[in-house]
Amino acid sequence: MAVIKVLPHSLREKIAAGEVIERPVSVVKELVENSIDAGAGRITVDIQEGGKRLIRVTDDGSGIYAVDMPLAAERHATSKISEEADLYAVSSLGFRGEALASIRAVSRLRIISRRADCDEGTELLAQGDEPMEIRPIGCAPGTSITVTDIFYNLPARLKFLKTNITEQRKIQEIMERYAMAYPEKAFVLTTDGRELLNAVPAASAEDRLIDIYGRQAVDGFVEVTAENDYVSISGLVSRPGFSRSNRSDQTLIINGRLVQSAVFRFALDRAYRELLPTGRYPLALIRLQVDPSKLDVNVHPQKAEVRFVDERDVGILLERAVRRTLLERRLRTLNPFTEARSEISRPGTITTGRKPYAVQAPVNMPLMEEAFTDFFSGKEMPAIKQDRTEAEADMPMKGDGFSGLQVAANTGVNIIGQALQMYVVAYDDLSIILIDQHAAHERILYDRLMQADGGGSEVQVLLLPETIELRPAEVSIVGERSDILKRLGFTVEPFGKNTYRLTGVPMELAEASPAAVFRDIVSDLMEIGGSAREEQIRASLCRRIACHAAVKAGDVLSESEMKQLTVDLLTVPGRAMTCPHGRPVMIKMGQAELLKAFYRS
Amino acid sequence: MKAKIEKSCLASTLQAIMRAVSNRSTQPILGNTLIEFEEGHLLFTGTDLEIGLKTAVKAQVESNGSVTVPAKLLYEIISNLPGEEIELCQEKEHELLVKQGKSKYSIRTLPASEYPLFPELEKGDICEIPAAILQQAIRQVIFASSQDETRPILTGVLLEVEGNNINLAATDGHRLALRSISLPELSQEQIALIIPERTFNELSRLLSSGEGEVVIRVLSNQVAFIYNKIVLVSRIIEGKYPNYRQVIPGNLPSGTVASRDEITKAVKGAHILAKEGSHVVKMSFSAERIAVTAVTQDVGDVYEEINAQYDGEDMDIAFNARYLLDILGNLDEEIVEIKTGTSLSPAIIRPVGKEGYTYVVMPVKMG
Ligand SMILES: Nc1ncnc2c1ncn2[C@@H]1O[C@H](COP(=O)(O)OP(=O)(O)OP(=O)(O)O)[C@@H](O)[C@H]1O
Ligand SMILES: [Mg+2]
Repeated sequence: MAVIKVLPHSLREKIAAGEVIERPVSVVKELVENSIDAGAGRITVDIQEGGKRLIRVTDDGSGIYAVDMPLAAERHATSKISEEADLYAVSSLGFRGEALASIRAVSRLRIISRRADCDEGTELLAQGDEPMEIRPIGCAPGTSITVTDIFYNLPARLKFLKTNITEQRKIQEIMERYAMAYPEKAFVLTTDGRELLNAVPAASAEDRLIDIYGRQAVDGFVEVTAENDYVSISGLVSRPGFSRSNRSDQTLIINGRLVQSAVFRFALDRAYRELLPTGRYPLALIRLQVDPSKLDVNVHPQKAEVRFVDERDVGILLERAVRRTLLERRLRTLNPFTEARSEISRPGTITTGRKPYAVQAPVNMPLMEEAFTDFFSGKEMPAIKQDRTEAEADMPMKGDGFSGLQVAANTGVNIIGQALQMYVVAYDDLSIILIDQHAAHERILYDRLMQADGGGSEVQVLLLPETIELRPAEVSIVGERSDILKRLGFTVEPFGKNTYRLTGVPMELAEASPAAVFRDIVSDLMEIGGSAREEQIRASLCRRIACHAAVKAGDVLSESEMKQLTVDLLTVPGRAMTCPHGRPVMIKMGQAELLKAFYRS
Repeated sequence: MKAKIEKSCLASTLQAIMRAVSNRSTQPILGNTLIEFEEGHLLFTGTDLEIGLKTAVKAQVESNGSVTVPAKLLYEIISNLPGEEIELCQEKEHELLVKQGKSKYSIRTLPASEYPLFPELEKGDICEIPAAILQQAIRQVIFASSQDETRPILTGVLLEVEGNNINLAATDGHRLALRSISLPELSQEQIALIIPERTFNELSRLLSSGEGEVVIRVLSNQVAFIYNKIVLVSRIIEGKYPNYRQVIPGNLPSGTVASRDEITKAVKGAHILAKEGSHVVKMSFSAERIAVTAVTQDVGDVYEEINAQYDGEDMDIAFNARYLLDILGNLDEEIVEIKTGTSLSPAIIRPVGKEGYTYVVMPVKMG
């Protein structure tokens, strides 16, 4: 008996759809791209229950002719390309004629559309394999597509969807990205009448960035541009002072498509090397315009990736452009003395470039002389008190051998000193001990934070409250998680559109930058998603706070700080000897080990 | 180039210069001091591009010229020479000779033309201010500046001219220290500069003798402090300092007057325990006394009491002990006044009997 058989049509459709439509946000992506292809100036998206119940995308674009309607939701039917050659020079976002067919296979689909040059519109109702209903209808020019009950016929898929909040956030994020990719268009996103995004047409990419990130953030960005004979790059990247703990704020747009690209990620990483600590990522909005014939858009089922000729070269071009911009900026802010030199021609500042200093002296002298009146009047210069620098004073062991100060009696540990500005070196009766100062402090703070449960930790009230502008998607998560934030010691209150005011921070963060910590916390919340258990969220936020509040590698510790750290670490019974990220806090080398290392056993 | 100079003068000059010299190896010339030989004196310059120091030392100069040499090396060499008079001269290119008696050291030089230019000391004095007063003012505000590099403005100290006053202000967002010095002759009406903390630290060191006056002068994008024979030039932090006046509460209902020494002792005592936890100490104000307490779980608790005059409702207010000790340790007056509003609003600490100093500190909300 034959075992290979052709699958029924409806099953084939479902399988094919699975490639394109993975979750509600995939529907939003396809529909918004269709609206963009239709030349819409305003795209409105309304969702219910994170898009699971309903997604409606309405545009003021070209509309669909009544005669085309029967084919719109058929597989492999498109108005955008017609022959093979077109595939190699696609200038629209769609080209496969698969999106609407896929949506139809897994949901209930309704299209209403009218061309501006027709008096009447057309309505299409479709549901999987069942026959479509098409009829005339009165409506405004443009297209409105409604997708309800996604995956109603695919329970397995439905099970894999996340909570409504998480699915909604994914939609919010992609809408923000489209808004940044197409600043000239209006984008609106609502759920149950509540506005999640409202971006009015903006004059420039920068203005749109302000809509999304708020005015504060704009100073944090610098512009980059670069080009070669087949690509031009333009974009905005964050200054090194402004970074994130993940890459979620990096957006790449190639010929109007939102895509992911490893080449691009690496290029950015390299451009920021040494300018950002490890684990920190820049924010970036990069737009590439590539000759369409160099671009292969047909490589990914959700069109989330593209391939193009000489990708590596483009990566290098981007890297150099970003690096150059960053370094130029940095030099300018850090280096007034060099600046004086480069301003040779500015009248009023006398800088003689490379001429020997002596030539300059006559000009300079009268003023110098005035400055040195005491000298020229013969008074002697007072001796300068020679005290040790603070760093030296804080370094107990420098030069004066092992004073071996005894740490609190109950630990039995003697501290020798700090090594490499990273480790506390100590010993007890049985072993030599190295403590990683950052990891140890992180562990201590983390434990303390996790313990200060329920009642909440102590809050340092801020003398200068910080206003923090967030992206619309972030605003909703801060709202949702306000309880946890409050219990951790963050006092925040809404302060106008997309803005929060931070008036108190956990005591532990007294030395850290409140705004920077809070932003990191918000990115963590975004990443954790809506479905995480409260306990998980708390742990992750406490890790973040501990990391910010802990002493860093490179910080010089005073005697008393080393002592405090060691006592805190060792006197709590049952304390885990790893940092919250799982790295060891302390290394002990016991007698036996040492004997072996010195071949004495 | 040739000059004779006294060792003690040269040594103290180099000590000062070395504070500005950089020890980063990326730009070796910044580890050097520029020496300019001119009629009657030598000029020494050191800079790490953040700050620059220039000073003149009397010398018998036989021939002029300029050269740069590693500052630390030169200092070590001369410190080791026994006699008083030292000769510096150049016989070969790229070499400076240091001579005394039969000792002869030659040091490799880098050309003076490659040394960063010292900014022109244009006119534009803000004021002349007694060194001792400036030094005290710096000490009383500088600890309140922020260490947080992501907020560069707060890492500096505001130097402001307002009417007849020079104000120094620093804040890290949790507390604010403000010192006003009134001076009869101020040439400028309004000026606000944000000076890096390090600059004030170095300046304070230079002022340690406490004698004489310091001239403060604004340059095009720097500021200069001129004191005795030393010019210290520093970059200015760009940006607008927050409006600190807004956070100083006007009329606070309650006030306590007590001995600074006693409060310090009590807070220090409480801090011993508090620092095992979160550094929080609680002050309870009532008619005749202030009680200072701290509790740290699993460690212990402490109760300290001080006599004080207090008018106001009984209240508890908690602070970060370090913020209190910072101010108490830097005041010179015996009696201080603490004014409070509510347990969550800013408190003010001032010395009694002395105008011109205000410290605003935010309380901690207890969990
Ligand atoms: N909002 C819209 N306005 C006007 N025409 C539309 C709109 N949405 C879809 N269409 C028409 O329906 C056709 C089918 O759309 P569909 O998204 O299924 O395919 P596509 O966009 O051509 O290709 P792809 O599968 O790559 O998205 C399009 O080619 C277009 O002609
Ligand atoms: Mg499409």
